[in-house]
Amino acid sequence: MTKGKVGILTTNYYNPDGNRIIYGGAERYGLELTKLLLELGYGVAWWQVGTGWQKEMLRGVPLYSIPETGDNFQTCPRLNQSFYEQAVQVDFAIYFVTFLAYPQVLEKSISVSHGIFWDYPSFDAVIPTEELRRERLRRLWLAFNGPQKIVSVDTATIQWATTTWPGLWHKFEYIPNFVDLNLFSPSERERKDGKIRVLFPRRLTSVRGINEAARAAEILTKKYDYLEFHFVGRAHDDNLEKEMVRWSAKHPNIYYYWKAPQDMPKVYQNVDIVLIPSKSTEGTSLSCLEAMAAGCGVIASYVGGLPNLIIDGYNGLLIRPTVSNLVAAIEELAFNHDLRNRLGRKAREVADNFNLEKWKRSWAKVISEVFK
Amino acid sequence: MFTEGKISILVPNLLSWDGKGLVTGGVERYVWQLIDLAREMGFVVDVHQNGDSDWQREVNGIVIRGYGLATISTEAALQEMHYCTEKVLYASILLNPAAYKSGSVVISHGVWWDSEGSTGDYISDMFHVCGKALQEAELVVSCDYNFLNVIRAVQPLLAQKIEVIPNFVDVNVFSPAPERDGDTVSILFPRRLDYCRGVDLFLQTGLEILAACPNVSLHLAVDRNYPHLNSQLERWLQQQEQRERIVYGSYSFERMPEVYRSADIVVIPTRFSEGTSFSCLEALASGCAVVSTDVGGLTNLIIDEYNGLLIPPAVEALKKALSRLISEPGLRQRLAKQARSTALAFSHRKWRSRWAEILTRIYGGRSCK
Repeated sequence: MTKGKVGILTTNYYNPDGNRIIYGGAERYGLELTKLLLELGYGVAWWQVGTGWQKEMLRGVPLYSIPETGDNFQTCPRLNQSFYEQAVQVDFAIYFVTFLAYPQVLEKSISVSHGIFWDYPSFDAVIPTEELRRERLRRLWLAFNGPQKIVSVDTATIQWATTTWPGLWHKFEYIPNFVDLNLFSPSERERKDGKIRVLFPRRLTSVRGINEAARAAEILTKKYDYLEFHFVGRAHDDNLEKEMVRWSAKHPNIYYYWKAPQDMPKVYQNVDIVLIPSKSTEGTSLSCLEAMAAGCGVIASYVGGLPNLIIDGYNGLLIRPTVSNLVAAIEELAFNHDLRNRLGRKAREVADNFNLEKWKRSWAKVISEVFK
Repeated sequence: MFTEGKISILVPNLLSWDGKGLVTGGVERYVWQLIDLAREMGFVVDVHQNGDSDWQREVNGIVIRGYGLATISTEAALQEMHYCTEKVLYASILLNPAAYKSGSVVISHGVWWDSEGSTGDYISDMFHVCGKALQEAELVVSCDYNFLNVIRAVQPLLAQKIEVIPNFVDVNVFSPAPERDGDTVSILFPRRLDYCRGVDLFLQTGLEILAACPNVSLHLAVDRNYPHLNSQLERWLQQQEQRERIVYGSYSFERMPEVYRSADIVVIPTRFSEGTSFSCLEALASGCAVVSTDVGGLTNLIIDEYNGLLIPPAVEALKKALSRLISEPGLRQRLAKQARSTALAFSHRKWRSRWAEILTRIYGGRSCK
């Protein structure tokens, strides 16, 4: 007997055409959340934008697509409406992105914030007038007020919300992201090839700081022949990936490839320094947590939820993500073996605290409070 | 290091408005530390502040000028300060609509308008006030990443002018007690008597805990900035059944290290308006088990269940956290150990070297090592 059925609404788990699964942090989050709900005895069904296709996300977990594409003011009222109507068969709802809870929600519902995602200068052009900005905020306010709880992966989002609408903090539950400490662990053996390897384990997008990281790699590999850079992650489209392949081929000691999630633990074990130089749109990054769990020397930017994970000079370095700051930080860790080791040890120690089991307990508590 | 240059620090009140007493608070401590550093670097420093009349005093060899115009208009006083100074450093963000001098540095001590009582108009004014500082000054130094994140969510381009230097703690002065004995548990509240600091949260929860746990005592280490609040609290304390297990006092800064050393648990129950709190850092450095709310810059200091417990500002959550710490000495010890070790990352030396770089860059003239 199940405790009831949970409907989860998201924008894209697959591309809208249903052909390419999106391997991102949010998608992995969705998978773990689904597994947890099943463990707790709930039935689960997902909905997303699409042409009407239907798939199975996990055995017994259908993923329906809703042919509604229109979005305005950064909300999707028609998707929301279709879900509301189709979800008559479910008892509880999770709005997997906060703005999907506009304008109406199931009574017993939770929404999820994966971090502030509009904190980059060109967002201004998306909502270019004062009137539009006000309307967007008004809708977000309604979206925040609908669900009984908002689970936020970082405190930055909660702080932004409470500095914009004080009192809203009552809605929020801070549940930082997780890492599987059994999968991600430090390398047992020390490498003795004299190389220092630097990893950029993110999607190749501007907000993740790919341009700054690539420039830093060019500068540093020219200067030191024992430094190696590994860019490991997919781009949004094939052309960009091809361009990365061409670019890395031109530079000795710079490599580009991508790996399936299950192969990532080995990638981390093979490197000394990991870069998380996000310029915006960042929560408590899974990549950052994985790098910490692997005991790497982490260089992160001070954006979004990263200051929830890294204390500068304690378990990593927190910098403003510019080329020169990256170069300086990489040099500092590359030359200073002791510092790198100390930061790496503390990173692993702190990562213990973000273990998957704890994340599940925190979520189970919120679920038991709302889904009853 | 030698440099030539002059810095005029503009601060609301480093001394009381009559110029006779020192004001104690986080901003003021911050300014005195900055003055020390700037003078060691060879800068000539003076201070300009609001006054009840025009006066000039010298404290620790520093000229401090009070501007009596402030009794009529702090904005007019500020204009006069601008007229009497060259390069300026603003100790906090200006709340009045005056313009900043160009080429100056402004210090942000964290967001302050996140109170439940803030109205929409007030909030948009405060975002405007922050935007103005970022537009007009050369650089805004923020004591936490929270201010930066909030501003970046609203004005991402201007946020690039923010540089973060977290607050510091003198880890030699604030250090753990050699050994704490196991039987009794002392819970300390080391903050100002102010609603924003959550004193009511502490008292309400503390009383419940006292009633439930006979081995617990409370310690209030509070200010005396507003004596009527102290007498109010004293009267209230007299009425409490558990009065004999509540220690209450106001201490000089010099005595605070021993106050922390005598505590097992320190509570930082801030409701709003918080940066990287000195009290929280001092509690960490003193090897106490810290319970802190997830407000403002505190989230940059405390990693939940690693070096403290991070809770929302609510009685239930605080009660649960305290009960847990009281009943689990092992957890308390682990948090305390990791508290001390994280505090070492907020050293005074690091804070000084970050500021030294900024002072040289913005006010430097020439400098050599």
